[in-house]
Amino acid sequence: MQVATRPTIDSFGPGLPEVDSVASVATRTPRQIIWRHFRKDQLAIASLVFLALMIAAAITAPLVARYLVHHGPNQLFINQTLDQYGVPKGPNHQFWFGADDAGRDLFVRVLYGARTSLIVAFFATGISVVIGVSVGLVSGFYRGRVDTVLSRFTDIIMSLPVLLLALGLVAGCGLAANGCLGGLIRPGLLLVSYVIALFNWPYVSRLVRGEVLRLRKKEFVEAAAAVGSNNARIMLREILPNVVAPVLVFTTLIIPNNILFEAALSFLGIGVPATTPSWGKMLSDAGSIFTVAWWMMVFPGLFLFLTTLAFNLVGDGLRDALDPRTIR
Amino acid sequence: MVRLVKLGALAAALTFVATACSSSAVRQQPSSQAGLQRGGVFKIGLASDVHQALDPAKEYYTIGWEFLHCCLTRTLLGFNLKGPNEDGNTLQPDLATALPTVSSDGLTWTFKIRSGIHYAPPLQDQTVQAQDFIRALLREAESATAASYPFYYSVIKGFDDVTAGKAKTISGLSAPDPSTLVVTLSSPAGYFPYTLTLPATAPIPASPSDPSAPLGAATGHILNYGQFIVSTGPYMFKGADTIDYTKPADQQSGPSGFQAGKSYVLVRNPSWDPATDPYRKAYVNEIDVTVGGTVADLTNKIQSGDLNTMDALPTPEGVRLFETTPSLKPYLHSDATFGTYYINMNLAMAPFDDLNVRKAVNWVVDKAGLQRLVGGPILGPIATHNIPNTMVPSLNSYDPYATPSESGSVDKAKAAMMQSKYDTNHDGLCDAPECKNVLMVIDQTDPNPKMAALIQSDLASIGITVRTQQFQTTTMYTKCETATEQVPICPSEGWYADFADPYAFVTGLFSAASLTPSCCDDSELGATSAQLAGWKYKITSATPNIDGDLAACIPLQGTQRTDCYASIDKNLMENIVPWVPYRFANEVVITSPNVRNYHLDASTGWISLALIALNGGK
Amino acid sequence: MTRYLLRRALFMIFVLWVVSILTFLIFVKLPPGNPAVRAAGRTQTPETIAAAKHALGLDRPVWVQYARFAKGLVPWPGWFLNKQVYFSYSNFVPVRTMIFSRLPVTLMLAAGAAVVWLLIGIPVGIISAIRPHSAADRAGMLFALFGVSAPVFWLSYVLLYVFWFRLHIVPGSGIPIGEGVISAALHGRFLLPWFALALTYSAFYARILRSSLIDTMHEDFIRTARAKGLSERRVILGHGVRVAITPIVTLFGIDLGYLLGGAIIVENVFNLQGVGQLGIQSLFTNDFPVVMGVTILAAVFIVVANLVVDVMYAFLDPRVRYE
Repeated sequence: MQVATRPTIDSFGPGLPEVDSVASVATRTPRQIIWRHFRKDQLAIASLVFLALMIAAAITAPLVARYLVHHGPNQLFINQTLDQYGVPKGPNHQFWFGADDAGRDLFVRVLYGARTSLIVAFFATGISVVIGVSVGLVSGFYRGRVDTVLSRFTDIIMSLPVLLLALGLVAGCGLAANGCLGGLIRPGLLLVSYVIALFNWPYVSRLVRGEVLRLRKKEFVEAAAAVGSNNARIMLREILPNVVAPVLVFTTLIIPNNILFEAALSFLGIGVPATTPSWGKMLSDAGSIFTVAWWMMVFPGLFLFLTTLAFNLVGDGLRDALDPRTIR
Repeated sequence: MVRLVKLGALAAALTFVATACSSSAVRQQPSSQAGLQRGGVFKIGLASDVHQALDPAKEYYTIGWEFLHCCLTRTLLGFNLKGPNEDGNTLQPDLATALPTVSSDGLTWTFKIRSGIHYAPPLQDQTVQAQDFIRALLREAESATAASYPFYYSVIKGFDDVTAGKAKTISGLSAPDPSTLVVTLSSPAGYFPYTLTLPATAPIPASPSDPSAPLGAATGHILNYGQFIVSTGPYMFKGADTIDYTKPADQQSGPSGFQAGKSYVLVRNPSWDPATDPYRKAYVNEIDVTVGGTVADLTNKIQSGDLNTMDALPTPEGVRLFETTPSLKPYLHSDATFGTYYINMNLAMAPFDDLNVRKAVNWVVDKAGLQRLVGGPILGPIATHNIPNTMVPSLNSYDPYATPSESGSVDKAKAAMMQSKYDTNHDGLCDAPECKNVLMVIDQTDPNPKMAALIQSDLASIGITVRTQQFQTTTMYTKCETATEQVPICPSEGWYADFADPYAFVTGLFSAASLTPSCCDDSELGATSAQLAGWKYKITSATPNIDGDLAACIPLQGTQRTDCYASIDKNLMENIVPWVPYRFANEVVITSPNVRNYHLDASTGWISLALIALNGGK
Repeated sequence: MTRYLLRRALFMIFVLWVVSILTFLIFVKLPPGNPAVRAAGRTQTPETIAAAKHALGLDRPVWVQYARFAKGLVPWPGWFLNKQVYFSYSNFVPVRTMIFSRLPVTLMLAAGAAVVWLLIGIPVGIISAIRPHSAADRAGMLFALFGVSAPVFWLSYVLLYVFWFRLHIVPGSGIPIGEGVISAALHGRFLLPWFALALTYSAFYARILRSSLIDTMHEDFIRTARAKGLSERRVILGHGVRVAITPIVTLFGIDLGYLLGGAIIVENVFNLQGVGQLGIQSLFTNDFPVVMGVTILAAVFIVVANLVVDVMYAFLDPRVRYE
């Protein structure tokens, strides 16, 4: 006896569009659909691969330093890399990306710079996402007084000139030898990350709140409530997974901004400390000398540009994949 | 003396200076006096603003000194404003008619003042009188002024009483008639005339509304006198003639040509009479100074002619460009000076309170590397001791911390460190908690951060880890000079002798009188326990004091004098070790191709603006 | 409408009050050490410290100190950045004087850049949106991708080197002494800074407008407009863009407000002596009161800009008025 099989997309033959098909919804999870859309965007896939490579480079940087080139990012090679005037030498077999004007290996520094940028990207943005999702979830779900209070709070933060206050914080606490609050607030990568997180979370929260307001009216939430799930369960198991998608898109699009923001702070000299390689700081150092040392500007600049570009393309691809209307 | 560049006059009694041969090439343009045309606007770009708003009593920085010397503040005695090999260090009369006469006991100096020297508008009806110099020295003495180098004038009878608040006037100064100034010292000092070449002694005219006011036109301008200077030189601030000195100080508005942090414009002083001023030529009509911009941008503008010169030393790539391009090479000027660049260690801050640590640092620093980072030998030879070879030639081959190629030796450094109390296990590495995370204040202007990175790496190899704080040049100096800031180590400092006498090199650096609030004993030599406690230091045992040795050299003359200072230098290098000197300074200046008659002003250590001219007067 | 505006205005005053508390904490109370010493900057004599102490009211209770400080945030003559609290001891002038002398440069830079980025960003965004996936769209989005990925400091250096030093098409950095802001702009001294600043914003705006317009074009009221027989051009420009531009309006207000506090990097690289350069210079010279003043000025600009944006939003999107 033949078991009745539900018609699949393939049974209609190849060559037909995969979207807008009721049958495909039934047989594929939303995640699979999105992935199929995404896969078609070649640029996005290439970018994803590139980012994976960057992450790998960042993680393996210490290993590369130790085992491949045998020196770290702050090790000086004044006699080998600088000529008699102190002008650095370009790429050669020993220093693949050339040297910077302090006599350091640019290749290793660019790899370590990836760590700085990616830490900012993931850690700082991650914090803002966690805070933003929590606040938005609670705010949108409970509504009423809770929502009003949280929304006003979010509004206030959004209206504050956070970047300027951060600058002021750096000014005040940077002057002191040990920072403020017993060393908690001190110029460095952590402070930059906190500032970025502080700046971004209200936008995430607003986004999530809007989504939650929309979702909580849907039937599956009613159903869960009817079955007896408590609020926490509903928030976490029903609503949260559906919020992930737009949050993910927003995150990937905001990461390039954050990377550039850290680069700008380091350029001004108030970001990461001098011993921490940062693409932004390297570009800053290259600014006066790139006419005779093109490699100092090209390599960090290229990596910074490509990384931010990759995040943008992935974000674009995700957004297009999630949006049923952008039919390819 | 002046930070970075400053040279002072030499006492006529001292002979060694004039014969000082620099070990690095001195580049001079063939200066043809004929064919130099008047006219044009000389444009200067400053990467860093002036140190103390051009206040003559406080400004202690090469660049500021040049503006004062060349253009605004004539003094009793001066120089010919040319380079060290052009007699630039020989004392000359400026506002005085001749060099002073001194009594047989060496205590009374008499100066005759030129007549008919009119001040710039709006006080053009006043002429320079003896009383005007008394006013200047009174201002220097008052503690409210917080002058930078009052210690030079302590030798004047009654000077310190004013500083201590015990007297209102300086008893050792008198003006028997308007054109005679008599100075009585409390002890003989052969170098004394040189101190009257410094800008702090420039005359201050009487206040038009209150002729008896002790500080004259400077009354009330405790912090901002710079822009209210009444010029005696060939130039004045644009708009200075509109200042109303009859009003109270806080109601006077400054000249439009003085925009702090932005720009300074000097225009011709109509009262200046070249017949009374044998050395200043003042070819250009106007001097425009703009603040801001990166050194690379300023260098580009000098090449394109948008600027005529800048304050900063050229970058390594700038040096290479000018050095290797035949059309630019004549505009790269390099002159030896009486200056040293050094790493300063605070003797009251751990771990540098330990002599063995300081010796270890002297062993480990890669001086050759530092020279390369700054642009190579044209910026000056490697320093092996504190006082420049140009001042004490007998120490030419004295190198107590000699290492192969002067690149530093970790082994020798460790051997010294082993004897330190901060190396608890005596393995040559500093391991006590005081060795970690030591604060190092550096100049953020290139190439100082790169040099700091090298020093940081060198220190790490003997176990000392540092964390750096970057500041703009003049702010860095202020931080390192102020004892209460408690900065352990400052590697970006440079020092030029205030005048061409070793006395002027060492006094401002190593005597107790140069401690905070004075300047510039950054190593805190000669600090008492009470002082350290008052500055809230953790280490309160008194630091070494060499005031006695310094005083012993003052009355000596000739080779005895140089030998005396040479032995002070040796003592400093071997037993006190407050510094790691690493480069004897050459002053390297780049000018645009239309600049003529370049001379180094040996008395300040920068370009001589009173002699500079522009091609074709444009 | 009036009620809405009143509510927004009150809210902004509230935000300004929060800003005043935060800046008071950040600048006066939080950092260790003596605020009077900090204010005295590099002129730390006993006299200046005493003067600063008296001016800041450090010998009075905390709420007096706060009141004096907060007065500086109120846009009222005599109160705003009053010279009692906001005084630079390093330069011996009121902070207000230093800032106002530099404001024209910053205003010219911000305004010019804003014009440029709107002129570029909006058309590119519209064209890309009405013809998705066409060659024009791809070109526009490629430009946009480049724009949001290129750091402004890198761009500034490259532009200055190529167009001034090598090609001599534009004048060099900075403004000559005595030349006014308008004259400088006419001489082309702001061209490179405008472009360097505008590129990122125009790219960002193009992307947002494209996405927003695409979404809007699918709305029902667009279909209605078309059904009414309006030309496509009127549909897009008159109806579509008008609604789709609201996120741009919000952003523009905030961006411009932020830039009025000084585009620090561009001012630095091009040596434009504006408020941003003043802020960062004062940071490195320890001139604390000036940093305070610049931060507060910028904060006030942003808050005011937000208010203006809210008003414009109400005009563009009627639904908002009835919230």
